[in-house]
Amino acid sequence: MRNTPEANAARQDLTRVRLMVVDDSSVIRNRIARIAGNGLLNTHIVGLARNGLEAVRLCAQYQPDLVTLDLTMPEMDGIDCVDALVKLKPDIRVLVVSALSDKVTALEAIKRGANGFLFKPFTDEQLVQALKELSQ
Amino acid sequence: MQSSASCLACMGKGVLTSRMGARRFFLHQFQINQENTVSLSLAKWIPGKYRQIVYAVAAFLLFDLGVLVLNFYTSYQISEDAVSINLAGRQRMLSQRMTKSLLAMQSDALAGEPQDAALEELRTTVALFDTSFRGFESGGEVKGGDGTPVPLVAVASPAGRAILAKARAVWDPYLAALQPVLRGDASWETRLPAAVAYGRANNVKLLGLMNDLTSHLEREASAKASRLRLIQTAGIALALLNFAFILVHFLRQLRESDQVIEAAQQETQEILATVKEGLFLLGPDLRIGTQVSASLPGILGERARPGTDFFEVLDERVPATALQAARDYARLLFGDRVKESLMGDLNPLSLMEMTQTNDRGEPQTHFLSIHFNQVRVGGRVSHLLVTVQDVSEQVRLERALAAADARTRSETEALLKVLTTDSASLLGFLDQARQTLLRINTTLKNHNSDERYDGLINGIFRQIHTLKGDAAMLGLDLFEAQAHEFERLLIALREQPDLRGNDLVAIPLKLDAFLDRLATVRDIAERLTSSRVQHTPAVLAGKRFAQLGKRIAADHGKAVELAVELDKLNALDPCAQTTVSEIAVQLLRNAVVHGIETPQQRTQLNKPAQGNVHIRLHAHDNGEFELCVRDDGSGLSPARIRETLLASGRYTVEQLDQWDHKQLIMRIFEPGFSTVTTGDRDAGHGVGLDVVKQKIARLGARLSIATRPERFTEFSIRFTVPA
Repeated sequence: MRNTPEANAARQDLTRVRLMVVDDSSVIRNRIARIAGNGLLNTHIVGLARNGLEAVRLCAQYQPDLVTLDLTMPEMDGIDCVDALVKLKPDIRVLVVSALSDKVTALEAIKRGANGFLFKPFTDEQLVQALKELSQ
Repeated sequence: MQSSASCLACMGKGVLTSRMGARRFFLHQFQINQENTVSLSLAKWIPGKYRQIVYAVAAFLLFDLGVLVLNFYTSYQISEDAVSINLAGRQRMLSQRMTKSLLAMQSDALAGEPQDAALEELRTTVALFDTSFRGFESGGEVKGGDGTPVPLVAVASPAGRAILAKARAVWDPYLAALQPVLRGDASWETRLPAAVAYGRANNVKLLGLMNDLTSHLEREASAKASRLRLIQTAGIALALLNFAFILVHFLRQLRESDQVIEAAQQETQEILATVKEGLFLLGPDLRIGTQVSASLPGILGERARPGTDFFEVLDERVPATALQAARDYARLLFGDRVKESLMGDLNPLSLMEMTQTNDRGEPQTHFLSIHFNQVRVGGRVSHLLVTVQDVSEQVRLERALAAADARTRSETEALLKVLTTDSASLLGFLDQARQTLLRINTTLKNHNSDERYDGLINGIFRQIHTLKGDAAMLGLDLFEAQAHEFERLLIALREQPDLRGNDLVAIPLKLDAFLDRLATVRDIAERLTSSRVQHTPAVLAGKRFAQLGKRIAADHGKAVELAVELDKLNALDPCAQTTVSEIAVQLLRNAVVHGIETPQQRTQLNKPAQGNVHIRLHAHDNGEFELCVRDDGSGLSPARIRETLLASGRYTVEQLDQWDHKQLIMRIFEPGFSTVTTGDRDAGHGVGLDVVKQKIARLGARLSIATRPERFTEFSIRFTVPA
């Protein structure tokens, strides 16, 4: 491989954690994308999905390593989405990002294969910490 | 509600951290115990730490093997020596038999009897003696006592060799004298006397030499045997020493490591006996581990014992769904997949309310907090450390704080409401109330202790009740509530059976508090009336639009001159004011982002570089209002709208072909419509004009659009408001 800056960047991208953000709220989507893309984390955004169906489609296309997932969304909800994502990519890591009132659903999502839970509203530090934990 | 719940959880954690020391220490202790147990059971697989014992055992075996080899060697040597000694003894006997046979032959010859038997015996004896003699000299096989051949080792010692040399000197002539007799030569009878004579002369000498040889061999054998015994003893002694070393050294090591384990266990026991929290380890079968802290049964009841299913202990106190969720939660923590740090917020047992009967049999509400921490051994979760805390006190404190906070907030709101009451009525009320309260104070002071108290209290009650009514009339909730409190005190006093002067002390205290608050409010109200500046909704909206217009224009690289005429906004009710402002905001965004072109585009079109946006609210004579938002931008292009609709995939070409320009233009109010491809905070999300449409509907307004490509767009919204 050549040693151009582009080739180096491409190589670096291969070692980075591929992150997909799934949330029906553009505010949350943009916030997570901004925090995850600020250079503090070894992640790069490969997809922003507005609902479960879109998430499954983007997952098949871009093979993310890590997904932040809202639970209540139109089209396909979080639980079905976890099922579909795990089926599609068994080693996928899923961080459920949801309101604390969804505790029972969140627990169900974790039973189905999600790896952790972060409740809304979260601080930048909390999200960075959670993504770091799951990137390891 | 939710925020108070999460605060509660935070607070619980806060208190926990102060006591966390014990929990962390316990976890540490547990890990020490685990490590010791694990490393002891694996001792034979870890030579590094136990290399010494391996070496010692190997040396012990080596010594034992050496002694065994020596044993074999010794017994071989002894059997060899025995053969030599036996044969040397036989030589002694043979020398005598030889002489005896010679003498027998001589006497037979004199008596004229046949000498065949004696001759035969002599032959055998001489042959055996000679072979054995040579065997002693140079080794070889010799016929043993039972006639079978046995190996004979040559005598090696100088003393032995010397004896043999002497014997050889005697034997050789003897054998030479015997040879003719043995061979049976013709003249053997004549040679016999010579042989007999030699035999007689040297018989004793030969016997003595053979005797010397036997004794010498015996001495040699015994010396060799004792030397071997010495070596053997030394070998065994070494082996025993080694064994003793192993015993002492390794017993001490074992004792030391046992002591560490015992000390760790002792510390664990002490911690478990001392901590206030319920502490124990939960196994993968969700049963309570063998060690529990002494306080656990006190917190969770007597059923919380080692070996019982933890969730069955909670069974009667936790709702079934929460219990199932808790089981699921614990099982998930046993998986290596989930991150403990990202699970804490889902713990269904982080705060639970339960009712227990106390010593007096009365039901009491407790708040328990149960936390689970993963305990990893060799990287895998082996147990969960469960911490059970009674957080009732913290919860009560938290609730008291929340209640106090709510009270302060409602009082602040009430105060704000008081201050928005028109100043003349407010100041009037404040004066009147003050006078009433002062009057009551005077009455109290002048009260004659002989008179009954009920009359006095009833008098005060009536005055306070009137004050309460006045406050309610003016909508002054703050004072109404305070008067109400006062009334409740008076009612309580009135109902007290045996009322004394001392009981009335509470009344002046209430009066003082009331007067204080009146003075505070009066002070604030006076300051506000002197400095209050009137900000009408129209002025406020004007300022806001100017700022917003500037910001959007700057964000999109547009130059815009904004004219705002919204004076008529003041004539609308607050609800309509808000709706009209919201519509105007959306239309302003739309005009700046979509309507006005960039300065370069405008210059190319021979337009002034700076665009104009005009927002106006008219009041028509017929009572109708009209909101107009006009920009001198690119106008609405039916062709571009058609492209966007087609690209959105929501309509087919056939559908689009059926619509005229007006119908196409109206589609911009559809949800999701946007002609800008990149989304930012002002436009391009497909949300905007559909909101305008909803709000127009809410106002019951009529919308009309006038537009000319490259010239202008004007949105006009006409509505009436109820008189």
